[in-house]
Amino acid sequence: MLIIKDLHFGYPRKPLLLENINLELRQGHIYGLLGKNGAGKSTLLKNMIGLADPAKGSCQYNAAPVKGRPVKVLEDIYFIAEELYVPSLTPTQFVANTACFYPKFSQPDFYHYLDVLAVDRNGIMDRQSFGQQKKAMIAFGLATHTDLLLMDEPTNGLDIPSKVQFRKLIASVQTEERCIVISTHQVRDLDSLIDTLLVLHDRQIVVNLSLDDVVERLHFGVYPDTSEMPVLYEEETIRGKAAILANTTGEFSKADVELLFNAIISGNPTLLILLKDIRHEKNI
Amino acid sequence: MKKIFNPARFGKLFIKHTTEHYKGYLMALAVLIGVMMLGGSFLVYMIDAPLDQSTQSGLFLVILLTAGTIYTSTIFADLGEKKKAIAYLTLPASHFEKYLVAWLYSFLVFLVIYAISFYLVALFLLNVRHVSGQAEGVINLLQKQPLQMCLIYAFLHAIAFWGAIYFNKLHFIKTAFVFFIFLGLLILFNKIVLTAMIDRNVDAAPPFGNLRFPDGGRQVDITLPDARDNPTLTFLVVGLTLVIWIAAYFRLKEKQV
Repeated sequence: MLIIKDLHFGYPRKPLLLENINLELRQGHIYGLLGKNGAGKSTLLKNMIGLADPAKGSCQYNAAPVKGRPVKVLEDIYFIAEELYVPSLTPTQFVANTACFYPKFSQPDFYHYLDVLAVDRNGIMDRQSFGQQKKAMIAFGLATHTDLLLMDEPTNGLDIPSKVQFRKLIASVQTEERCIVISTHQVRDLDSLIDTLLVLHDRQIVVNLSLDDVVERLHFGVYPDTSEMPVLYEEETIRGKAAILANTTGEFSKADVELLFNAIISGNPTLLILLKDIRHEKNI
Repeated sequence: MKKIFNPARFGKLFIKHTTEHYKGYLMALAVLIGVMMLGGSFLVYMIDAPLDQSTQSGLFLVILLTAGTIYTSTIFADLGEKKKAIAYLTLPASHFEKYLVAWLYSFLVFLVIYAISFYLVALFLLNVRHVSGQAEGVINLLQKQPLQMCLIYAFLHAIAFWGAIYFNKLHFIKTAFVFFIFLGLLILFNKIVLTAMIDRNVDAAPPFGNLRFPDGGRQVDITLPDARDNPTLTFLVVGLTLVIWIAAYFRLKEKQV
């Protein structure tokens, strides 16, 4: 679906932000894109939709180059940016002027999503709160039914009930044809939603694994005492020590994505080698 | 071809732009008419000057160039704000269609609306008070002189249009700054070339302007035929206008956020 090959990107007169990025996004998956502040997550998403041109390498969507933002590509990718622009129109008026550019847009679905997210379809959008604006644009983005949906920090500004509704909505709209990429800091909001983890660290994709593959090789748990255990990484929590160990018993645990992310960016060498091995095995 | 231009999609884009901006445009039109009425009333009532054809022509040109270039410099203002730029650039329409909507509004639509507004204001002012010596009516906007003014506007529009895409903020000021720097350099270059050609120290002047230099104790002034009737100059202005418009299109295509 979307293939990035040997991509290098840096803003003018600034050091490289992305280096040697190789990535393939497949239909039917929800990718969680994680990284520290300034790691380049938003920039990577912009490269995927042609808002940024790489210094080297390529990005292709269904074999068509994304560079130059061809109409055929834009019709099938929708990007919900972290900072949204909404016009001074109601959602109904906005849809009347904008939906026609997306061939697969569904108006009944749009209004259904607005209702689920509790957005007033007759309220002037730029006069609503940031959270309401975000929800309106999420509803619009989902209703375009593009095969690739890119979301940059979609839960920023949403209240807790809205985050719950958002998770339920994303889970319900996911199909075998669709690919969703969610860039986020708030891992806990979305760890039950994503099935593939992408971690961007030090200008590169250091992890590109399905969570199923991760829990097949790693075990996550909270223990009162880990002194006798072959812990790969651990953190002190209120409930005890949250730890990552190698999965030697074959028992599956629930992946603690936030713990795993912290372990990766801490530069834990053993863990990183293990994750690289998993990736290598899966690629073979 | 449909990748570059699809009439149906272009129509939808034009309607979308109109729907989202018409309130601002109507307010701007009201301000423009208000300014013309105020200025015109000042001339008619305070200075008591007849609004003859040459006065009307001068006013038509000055207001056209000022208002038109200011408006044109705002046509791509959305590209200067990240969130608006993302929405604009990711909308599934070709760069050419987006360019054409902006060009049509800032050039053709503006010219037509401005001409009609000017005509109506001039007609009103000429009839509201009859000044002694007022023998002429409203200028005919379809004559040669107003059309030449539109050509001058086209050239300045191209510069303002390019600047509107190239710069992210302060479009009008930055474009004007670059334009005047370039004009200054051009005049200096012209002086150097002419001095070298005739081996005399000529006064600074723009290209295709008059040639002035001291000779003994007197000042020699060689006047060229009226620039407005110079086909070479007209061809040059048209050519440059087209080149700058094309440059603006490619600048839009390369725009990143």
